[in-house]
Amino acid sequence: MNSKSVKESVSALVDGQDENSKAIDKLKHDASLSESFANYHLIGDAMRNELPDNLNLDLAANIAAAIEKEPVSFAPNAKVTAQNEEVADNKKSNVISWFKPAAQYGIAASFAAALVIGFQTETQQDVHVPQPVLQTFPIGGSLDPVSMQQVESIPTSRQYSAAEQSQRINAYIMDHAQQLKSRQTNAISAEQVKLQQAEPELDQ
Amino acid sequence: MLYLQNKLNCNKQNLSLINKHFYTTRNCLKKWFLATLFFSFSALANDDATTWLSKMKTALSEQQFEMSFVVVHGNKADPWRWYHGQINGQEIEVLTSLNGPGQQIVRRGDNVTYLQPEQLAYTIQGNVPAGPIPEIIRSDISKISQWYDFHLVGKSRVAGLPARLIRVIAKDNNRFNYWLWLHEESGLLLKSALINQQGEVLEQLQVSNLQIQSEPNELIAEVAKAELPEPYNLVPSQSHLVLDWSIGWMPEGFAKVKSDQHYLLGQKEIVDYMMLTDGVVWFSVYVRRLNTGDKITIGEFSSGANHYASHQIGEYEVTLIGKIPPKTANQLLKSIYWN
Repeated sequence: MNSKSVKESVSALVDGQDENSKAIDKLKHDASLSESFANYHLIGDAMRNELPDNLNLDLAANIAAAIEKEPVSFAPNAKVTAQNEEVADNKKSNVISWFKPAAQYGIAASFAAALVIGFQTETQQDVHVPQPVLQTFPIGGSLDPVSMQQVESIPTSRQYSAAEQSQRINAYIMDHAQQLKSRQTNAISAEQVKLQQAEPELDQ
Repeated sequence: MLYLQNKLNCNKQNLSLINKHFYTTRNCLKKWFLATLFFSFSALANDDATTWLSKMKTALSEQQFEMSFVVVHGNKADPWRWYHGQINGQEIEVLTSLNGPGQQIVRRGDNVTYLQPEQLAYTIQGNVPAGPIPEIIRSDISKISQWYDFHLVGKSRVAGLPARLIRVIAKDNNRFNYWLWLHEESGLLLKSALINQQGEVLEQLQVSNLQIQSEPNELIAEVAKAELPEPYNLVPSQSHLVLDWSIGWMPEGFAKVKSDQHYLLGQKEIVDYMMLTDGVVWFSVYVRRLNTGDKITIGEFSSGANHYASHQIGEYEVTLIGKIPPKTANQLLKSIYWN
């Protein structure tokens, strides 16, 4: 019996149209079949308008468990609200759910940190690449300007490969996006004035 | 035969009717076009447009609202939700990306916090979040009027609401133009388009749902109390490092707001960096020293309004990224010189 016809007989069984016990035997041993068994019952209930007020699907249970486990650091009230969800009125829980994603960043951020560490050990040990966020900030006076740096050079002419090139372009684009997200906009007018005055000196 | 003749006649009549209808429509269109033309000339009075822009700025900082909008740039469309309100006189706004891993931008007064999936949350001092909303709506109108003309063009209907169209037209060819549709009643932004000198739309923002509230949203109230990271304190001397190269030409009104050296994001290379702005557009210039004899391919491409251009000047790779016209980007890159 192929899976489609097994499913059909499961469906028939649910509808009370099949006395064939083979389907029942199959059901006991096949997890996906028993899932469809449950689903067919659910469909039947829905068609007969007999659905319970509170649908307890596996999915719902999994999400609830995941929310339970999540560290809530950003929105301290979110966890409490999640627990009292049944009590809270619909509107409120709706609003919380929009804000909820923020809580996931705790996990995501640690993942990013792991990535950075992985990156460092994989590549040269002597180059310390700071965390992405901090990286966009100046590194201070300990390093010579790029333009004056003593670069160990291979004295052969070399064309960058397409892969290298596109990787660098990506890095520039991401860096630019990060720079925009670390700009201090409220200080601009004052600084602009200051810089415009300093311009002749810089341009010498 | 007679019947056929009749039918033919009838068809003819129908045709002429259609023609007549067509002409009326065309006349109407003509009139409408003339009216629009007249409108745009009569509305040359910059004052009206400026009044509308001020109204928008006031509304954007004082109103309590919640809106959903989609940003279209290149072949991408990103949906966002925007909450804004005031609590105890402090402006609070939240921008939530609705697709993908999601990111949130939270602004409390003069602090902007970025919550992104791959980074630790951090806070920056500033009142213009780098997000989906065009910076022009936050800019100082009297200041940018040096570089842009404002035109009140007419009325239209956007997001189901009556709207006014304001065109912000650059006075030179080194900037893009903006069209802003504002809600007639509140002055809030309903639609915006970024348009190049050739009249092509490069980026669009379209509001689909706007709710103006009398009380601050519950989310806003929650954010007001939430614990957010402390703002980074950037030392001005560090963000204004004197580099050994300069930009010989930049469009009028632009100025350096940052110059430093840092590791290129995710790379182990250090680059010289400069950020320039006119208060509407922020763009980045990078200078990287190449190994002796290295040659890079000159690269250039646009995505939406963002342009990426890269040149080789001697032993250096100079790169520009930002929302400026390609010609301007290249002209600026070519003007870089070493002291």
